[in-house]
Formats: sequence, structure tokens, C-alpha cells
Amino acid sequence: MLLVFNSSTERFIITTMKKNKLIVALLLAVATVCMSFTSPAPAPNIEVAIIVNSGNPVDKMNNELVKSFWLRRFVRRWKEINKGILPVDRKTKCAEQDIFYVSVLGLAPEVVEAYLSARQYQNGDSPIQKFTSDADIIEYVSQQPGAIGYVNAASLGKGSGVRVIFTVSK
Amino acid sequence: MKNLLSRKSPYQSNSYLRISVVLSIILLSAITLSHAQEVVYKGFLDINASVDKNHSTFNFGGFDNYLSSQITDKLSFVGEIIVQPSQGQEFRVDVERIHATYEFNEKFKLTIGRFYAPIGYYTTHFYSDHAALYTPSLTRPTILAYEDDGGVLETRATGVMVTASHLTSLNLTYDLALSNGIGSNSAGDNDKNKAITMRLSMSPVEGLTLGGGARFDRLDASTISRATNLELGESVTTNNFSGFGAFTNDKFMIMAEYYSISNQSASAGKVNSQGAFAYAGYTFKKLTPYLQYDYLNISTKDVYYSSANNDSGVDVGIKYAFTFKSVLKSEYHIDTQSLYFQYAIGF
Repeated sequence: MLLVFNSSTERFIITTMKKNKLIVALLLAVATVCMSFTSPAPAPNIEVAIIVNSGNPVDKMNNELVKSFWLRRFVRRWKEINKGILPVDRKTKCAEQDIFYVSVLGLAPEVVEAYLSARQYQNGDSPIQKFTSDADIIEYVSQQPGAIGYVNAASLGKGSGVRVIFTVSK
Repeated sequence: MKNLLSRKSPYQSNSYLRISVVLSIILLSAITLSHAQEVVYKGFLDINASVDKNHSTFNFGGFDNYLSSQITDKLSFVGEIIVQPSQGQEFRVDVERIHATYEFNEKFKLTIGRFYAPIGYYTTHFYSDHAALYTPSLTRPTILAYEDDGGVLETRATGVMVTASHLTSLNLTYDLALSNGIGSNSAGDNDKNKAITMRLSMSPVEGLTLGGGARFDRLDASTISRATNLELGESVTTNNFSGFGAFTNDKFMIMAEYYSISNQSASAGKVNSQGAFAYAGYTFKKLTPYLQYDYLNISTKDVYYSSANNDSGVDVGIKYAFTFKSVLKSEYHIDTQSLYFQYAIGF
């Protein structure tokens, strides 16, 4: 039952649902049109930067090389500075981690965890350091000559003590 | 009536005391060192069951305690100690490996202590049976059985090893070890002779490893023969040669190793024996069915090795990984008509 104002009789009248089907449908259509003009804006493009310590002269890398070094698949030390490779990761799931795992490693998180666990047992690899924020990662990489990590490129500032060797965006 | 209070409690036995001391040292070291540098501790456990025509049993395989630490940028430590059943109601402690490694650079490193001998592919990729999460099959290949389980080859060595890796475009790796020889025990060598073990492998493409190795040793006359349990009474020169290959990727794992063992003595002359294994497994999703072929043919004329464990047969198995920390394996040995089960976890 709906209460509707009849302009001709200048009175409110109670109408049945059957008669007001058209009115309800019109109201819904108007609401839908309004919502389409207020839909959320598309997610901003995120650029992830792979960073090393500024004292590490390693050349710019491609996707496969970043993957090989971060996972320590073939070597455990940087030839350029003769320091152990120290991979860095985010402690909790975030957009940057998703982009790094999908676009650089091409591996699901559980596959990465299984691989790293097996390598620790087989080779005695040191555990990957994990941090909660880009600022913490940048600070660690700037202090550790062998570190390699990933951050949102927008987090980097001048004089941060790190070098960008590869970028990937989504 | 027998006084039950006078019955010796198993908790008073020496083996339990040794185990308790060792585990306490491990735990205390992990806690203490964790404040100074990062210590990685991993534990592994395997529980087994088997059944054949005449016998069935459950058994506790082993509790594997693995510790590692990056002490400095170039110096690291690995220790692996296993508690496993012994005779009666006793347990024994077995040191699988305990060594320090110094990495000169990305190509050269030096290892000193007790380590897995650089022979073949399997030994230095899967290590202990009791880190059963990682082993491809339920039972260890016969040719690679541990020495204290009646195995032929010296799978572990105490000494020093130099490794050169990632050499040339063929990705060559060379290991050279100088260690206590056959006849030695955990306390030390029994004679002045040392074993020399060498291995050369290459990985020209990702996942493929091909290689060969050799081991040279000389047994003193006082060495106890495994064939007779008596002193040899003469010196024996033993030379082993091996060839191996492996291919692994996300789906396939194929391995094969062959060993030729030549023992020379004044009484028996030159006696040749052989051993080999082959493994093939295919993984789809969490399931890996596999086949393993074992071959061991120790000559009955050999003055040192026993032919009692000679073997030739195919095992059919399946491995299911609930997660990478929990797996279930089942294996059927066609020659002995025995069925085995294993549940392995890691943490």
C-alpha cells in the first residue's frame, strides 16, 4: 500500500501495489541512473620498484633476474660486492606484494613459502626478512649492502640510500 | 611377588638422559643465539606403518631437529640431529650433519665438520630420510642406505670439503672432500688413511643435472669387515665410481644413479660390485604417483661388504601433500609384497 498525492483532487490517496507498480519501477530506474554517476573511481595504477642498497653496483635487471636473485635460486652472494643476498618481503598481504608475486615471481604465496622452506633445509639459507611498511623496507635495504626488496615506487624519495633496479606496474 | 618399584624405569636409562641433554642443548642454543643472530629451527617427524604376509607394525621413524644460523656474512652453521628408535625400548641420537661453512665468494666455499658426502644427486638434495617432507619416495634407495643401517656407501663424512660452483656457461659444480675413511666411527678415524671423494656435475639448463664422481679409500687391516664382523687382517683398497642424472620441474622428477665399487685385496684380488636406483614421479595438483627401482649386487667374494642386502626390485608409491608441511605416502614393494605407509610433518 502506498500514500500518493493526487494533484487533480489535491488529496492524498492510498493506492494498491498493483496500481503503483509503474511508480516503483520508475523510482528504481531513477535510482539506478543516479548511482551510475556516483560509481567508485577505478583503482590508481601502482608501480612497484625493486630496490637494492645504493652501494650495490649491480646492473639493472629484468623480470627473470630479479626472480632468480630474490629467491636465491642459483647464487647466494652478490658477485659485485661479495655480500650475501638478503631478500626482503612484506609481512602482511598488500597490493605491492600481490604485484610482486604475480608479475615478478609468477608464483602463488604458498608456493613461494614451500620453496623457501625447502631451500632453508637444503642450503641453510637465512630466512627472508619481513616488514610491515615500505618505510621499514627502505630503511633496512639502505643499511644492508646485500638486501633486495620491493616497495611502492611512490614511497621512494631522494637520498633514501637505495637504488631502483627494476619496476613493474599494474 | 616381584617388587614393581624396583623395576628400572625407562626414564632412568642412559639413552633417555643423552637425548634429553642433546635436546636441551639444542633448545637452549636456539633461545640464546636468537638474541645474538637469527637461528632457524626446523623440526620434522615421520610416523610409519607396514604390513606384509607375516608381520605388521606401526613405528616412529624419527624426530629430526634441524638448526642453522648465518653467523656472519660469510660464515654459517648447520646442525641436524635425529632421535630415532633403537633396540628394545631405547632410542638413539644420530648426528646427521653438523658443520660450518665459509663462503669466500659466490663461487667458492669451504665446509668443515660432518656433512653429507658429495656423491650422486639424491644424497645432497634430500639429505635425511627423516625430513621426509622432502624425500621423493617413502624408502631410501638401497644403494644409498645409511652405513649404520647396513648401507654400502659412506653417505656421510667427517672432514673438510671444498666446493666450486656456477662455473662456466654449463654451470659446473665441483666438490672435493678429504674425510675419515671406512672403519671410522663418530669419535674419529681408526687408521691414518683418509678418504678422498670428488664429484663433478653440470646444470646446462634449469632443472637438469648430470654428473659423475669418485671415491678413493684404503682400509686398514684392523678394520672390522661388514661381511664377517671380524678384522680384515689385510689392507684393502676401495675405489668407487658413479654416474648420475636428474631432471626436475613442477610436474616431473626423474633421477637415476649408478655406482661401481671395486675392492682390491691380496687374498681376493680385485672384486667388483654394483648398485643403482632410478626414480620417476609425476605431480598433478597435490598427488604424486611414482616408481622407484633399486639394484644392489655386492659380490659374495668381497672381503669387506656383505651381500646380505642385495636387492633388485620395483616399488610403486603415491605421495599426497596436504600442504607443504604435511604429506602422506604409501608404497608397495613388489619383490617382498610389503605395503608401507608414512605420515610426515614439518614445522
